[in-house]
Amino acid sequence: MSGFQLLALSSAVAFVASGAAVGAKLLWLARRTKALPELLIGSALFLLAAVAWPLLLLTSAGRGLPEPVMRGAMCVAALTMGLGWSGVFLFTWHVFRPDAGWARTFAFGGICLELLGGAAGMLRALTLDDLSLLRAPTLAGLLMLFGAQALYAWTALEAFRYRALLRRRIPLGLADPLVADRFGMWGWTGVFGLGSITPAVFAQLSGGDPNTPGHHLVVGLCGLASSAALYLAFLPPAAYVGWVRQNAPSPEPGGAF
Amino acid sequence: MADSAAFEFACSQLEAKTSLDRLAARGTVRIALKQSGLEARSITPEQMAVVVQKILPIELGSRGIDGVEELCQSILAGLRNVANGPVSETPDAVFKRLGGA
Repeated sequence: MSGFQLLALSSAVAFVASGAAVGAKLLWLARRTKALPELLIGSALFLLAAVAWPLLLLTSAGRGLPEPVMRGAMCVAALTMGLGWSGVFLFTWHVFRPDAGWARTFAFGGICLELLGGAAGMLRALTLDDLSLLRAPTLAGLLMLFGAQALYAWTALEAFRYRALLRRRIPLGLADPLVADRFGMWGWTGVFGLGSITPAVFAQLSGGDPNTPGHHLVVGLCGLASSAALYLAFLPPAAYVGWVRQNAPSPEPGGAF
Repeated sequence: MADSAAFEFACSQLEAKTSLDRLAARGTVRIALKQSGLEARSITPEQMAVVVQKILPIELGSRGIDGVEELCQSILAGLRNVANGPVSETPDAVFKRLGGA
């Protein structure tokens, strides 16, 4: 295994660890609060990081595994990818634009794309004759990736827009710097998530090799950055919390926060 | 989505107690909100009170309105009686909770 492949693999493992930890934490929170946003994003992250990604890694690495295991792993991975990305679409719509018609249409369009792509992936995993083609690019897979790219870009734009609003509220004492930073980190999670899947889309559209050192470098660096941003957003260490608060502008006297 | 009760109250007070017409009064408050990073549809009476104390006087002064301090004090007093309407949960409330244990 080359250094670039190792970097890409490390980023996948980092996403599994950080996404599963954050997903579990938010699901635990949802159990207590019974609120929909944490249930949506907690389930989505957990499905993507703790189920789909490990199974995709398994199908990539486990060529010697029994056929039913390979088919089952790919089948569940396709299903959970579709469900996971659909959950993020729902979260972004529900939290940022619950009253906007265009956002509802965009979210449901994305969900249809992801669920249909996931269903096509499941069907393919169950019916494909030649198992060596299990990870070969498909049109349904490409459409799922397009949907995910649109999702990551939308999520990042909404998060950065809201961070800009909160930054203006901080000097008035109307916002918590840590919450503003959380929006920023969620935005960077989207940006680097977009970066980590773009090489696969580019390779499929251009007909090129998705396993070049350059692609592995981009996937590896973006995957690591995305995982770090996700972790800092929802499970920030005390030192990071202190740093954010220390570097925030001081509220003017008489603020409400 | 309709604008919040706090926004409507501040605008109606400006319209009633200054020479600003409805459009100018609403525009002035919207500019003050934009500078504060707040939105007309979700602002609460408590947040509007901070805007009225810290941002609105500057905006009104730049428009040549007289008696800004008294005007803002009367808006502040009235805001205490404005109830929070049925506002849907804001993104910052959600993200604040998501960071909790």
